Amino acid sequence: MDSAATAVEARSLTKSYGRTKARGIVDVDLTVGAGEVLGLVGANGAGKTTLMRTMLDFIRPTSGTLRLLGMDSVTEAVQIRRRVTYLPGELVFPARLTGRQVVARYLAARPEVTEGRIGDLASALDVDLSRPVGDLSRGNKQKIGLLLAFAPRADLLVLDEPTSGLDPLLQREFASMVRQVAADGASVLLSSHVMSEVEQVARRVALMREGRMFAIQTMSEVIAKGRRRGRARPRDPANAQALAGDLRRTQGVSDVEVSDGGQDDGLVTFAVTGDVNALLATLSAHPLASFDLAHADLEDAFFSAYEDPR
Amino acid sequence: MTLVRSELQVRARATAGWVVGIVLLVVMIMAFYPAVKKLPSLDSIYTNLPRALQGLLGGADLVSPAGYLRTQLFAFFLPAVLLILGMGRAAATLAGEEEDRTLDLLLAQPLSRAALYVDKAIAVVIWLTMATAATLLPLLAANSVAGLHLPVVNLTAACVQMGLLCAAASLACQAVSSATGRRIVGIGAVGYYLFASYLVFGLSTAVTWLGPLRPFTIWRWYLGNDPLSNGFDVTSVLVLAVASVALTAVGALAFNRRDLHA
Repeated sequence: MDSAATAVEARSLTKSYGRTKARGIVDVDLTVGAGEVLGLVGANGAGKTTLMRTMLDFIRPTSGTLRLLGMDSVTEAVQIRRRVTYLPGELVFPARLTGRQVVARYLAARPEVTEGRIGDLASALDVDLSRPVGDLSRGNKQKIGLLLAFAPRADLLVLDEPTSGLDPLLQREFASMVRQVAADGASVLLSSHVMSEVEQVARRVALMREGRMFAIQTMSEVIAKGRRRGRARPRDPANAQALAGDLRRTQGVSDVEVSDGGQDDGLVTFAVTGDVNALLATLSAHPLASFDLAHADLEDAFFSAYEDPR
Repeated sequence: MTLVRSELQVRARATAGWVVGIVLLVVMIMAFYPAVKKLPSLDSIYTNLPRALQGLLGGADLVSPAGYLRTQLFAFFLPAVLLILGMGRAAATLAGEEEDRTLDLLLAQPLSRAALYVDKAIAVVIWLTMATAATLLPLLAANSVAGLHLPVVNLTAACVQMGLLCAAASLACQAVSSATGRRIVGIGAVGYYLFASYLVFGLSTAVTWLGPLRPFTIWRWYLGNDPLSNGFDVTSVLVLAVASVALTAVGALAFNRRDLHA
């Protein structure tokens, strides 16, 4: 069970690239446990794809170590790939093949995947395998890519930008597929440049920037750092200024504004970052007609992390 | 052998086109022979040429059955067609997939790079075998009808040695292309070698100081023994076969060492 304990273990992993050695990843430390879903978030060029391609042995580390499922990423690459599947960020198939031929080609070395399994996934993802892939939309190609990653029942799924091109309904289906494999004990590493895409499924998020692992946080920590927009309407619009004044003095609250006139007369809008308890204490002192707090803006949490390295 | 079937499938339609084209080409050349045979004076066209030029054109003999096939098909035209097919496919098979960004997904499977490399090489050899058969079968079928009456073994030897020449060149192209991740590098390097060595081989009959270079031209091991007149040359067959295997081994090693382009 030692190999099952840790899906990914990177220690000071460095990969230098290009003529100037400026691209790549630097000193990356990362541990992904069995059954864990980890989101890898960063801007384009932050090193997400480089890290993932090193895991599949498409590129080799310059220094440091990388073990997957307890095995060395270079010397035991074939054994690793027996238990790991990969979805490339830029998915391209030979255009003239049908979906079925594509599946046969990219699962040729995985004879354990049954026709039944492929059929089940094709219907879950609602993808037609009889048409040439060149005729398929981006979203439908992406579905075939997901089918290829999920069909083999891998112990680790490495998914580069898995939800790009998927409509919201399919993003939900994808999220449930990820939860299912994680519940079955598989680990999932998924990347995105959009935080909201990993938010649904990842328990932890690793932020990458300029090739370095910038921060690894639980989703709830990221959410706690996020900025939420709020609105409160006092029962008596005349009290709006008083409420606004109190809010301005409350820890974590900013951008307080009072609307006057028209339909929004007496509505107080504000933003709150981090802990909300001080805000709640302030609000509870004022009789309110209504109050809403929006979902945390994770993009914002993400960028504030960039600006404020710990 | 995991991927060979899929490789053949991806190119099935185009391969059928090549096979039909080659058959038509061979049939067309054969169809002209009865007319050429009645015009012995045609020989004078070639016999009056400088010897160096004769060498480049595949000899001076245009009217004898072996001479006709050599000058019109085997000396240049047919191997050129097969080389375009074989080298194009060999460059596309790994470097092309890398450039087209389809290689990552293929290699995400539990296959070693060497196994993938060998599967791809096998597919190239199968395509060239089909192209060689598309040359040989119409030759055998029309041998008597067109009035050539060449020994079956000689026709077979010419086709097999040509197929081996194309295999060695194509596998060299696969090695260079996949070692660099760029199709054009293999096609350029091997194409340049083939052209230069064709000149050396062709001119060496007339230009004596080029003689010692003949063993280094791949053409020497294809046409050097004049297979249409003399049948198989075991040494030539072995040289080309061993070169093909060695180039595949070297290519697989080089491909295994690289970082693949995203």
